[in-house]
Amino acid sequence: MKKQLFIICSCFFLLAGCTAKEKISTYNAQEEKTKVIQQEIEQMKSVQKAKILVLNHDLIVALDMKPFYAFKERKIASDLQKKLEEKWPNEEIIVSSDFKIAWEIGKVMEEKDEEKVQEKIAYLKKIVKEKT
Amino acid sequence: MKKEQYDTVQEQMTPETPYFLNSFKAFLVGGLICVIGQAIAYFYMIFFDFTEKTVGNPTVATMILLAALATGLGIYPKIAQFAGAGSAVPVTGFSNAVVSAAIEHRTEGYVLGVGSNMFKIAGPVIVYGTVAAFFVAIIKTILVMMGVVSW
Repeated sequence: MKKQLFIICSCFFLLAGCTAKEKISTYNAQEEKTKVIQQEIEQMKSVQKAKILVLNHDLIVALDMKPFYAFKERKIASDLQKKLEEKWPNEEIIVSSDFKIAWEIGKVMEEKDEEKVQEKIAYLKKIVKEKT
Repeated sequence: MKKEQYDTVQEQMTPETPYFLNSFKAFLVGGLICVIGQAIAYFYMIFFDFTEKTVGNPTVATMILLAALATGLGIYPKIAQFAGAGSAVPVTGFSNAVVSAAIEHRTEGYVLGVGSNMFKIAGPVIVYGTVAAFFVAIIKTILVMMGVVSW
């Protein structure tokens, strides 16, 4: 009896983590570019969650794909990057499906100090290029 | 005793191999090893400057180190006894093969014992791994040149 109760309880607590959270989170929701990107991502079926960070001329998008699309995630991200680059050729755009990028953007989402966000953007640009 | 007779007797005497149970054990332990690897990968990504692209190398190095330590302490052989292929297929199994061979031949000296016997089991893996990688690379290059797939 105790064992069964333990199994049921552990299933409940494990599955409780699967509740849907906010699908697309943004740094500055009022920004015009952010809204355009948000619409673009909402049309994509393959994206589970996304984080958008737009500041001045820097534009970073982190995508979290649905498990079914995991093998195509890099191609999907580069397709979106090309699309955005066509739209804004003068901006520096990074679209990535990397967990690290999403994690780092998530940390600065609530940051009010723009200088710190700028520092983080510079850091992200550096680690995205790293290959070894 | 004729050959056929011997075969039937042998079949009767041999205990049945529990294939499903063995597969289940291998799946469970192999999966657990991969979960540990994934946890280490997330650890490196969250606390250090690694991305998903670059985190592979430090993760593999850490797993190899852990498996080598576990082999030396006598924990890995016990896991291998229980899990079979589940503990042999991941990179930890490769580490175990190198370290256990080195321990086994320690008494024969460092050069002719450890040095020459260390890769007795792991050597073929390296040789055929490299050969297979070479052929796969050639096939992929041809496919890219034909325009079937992209890099």
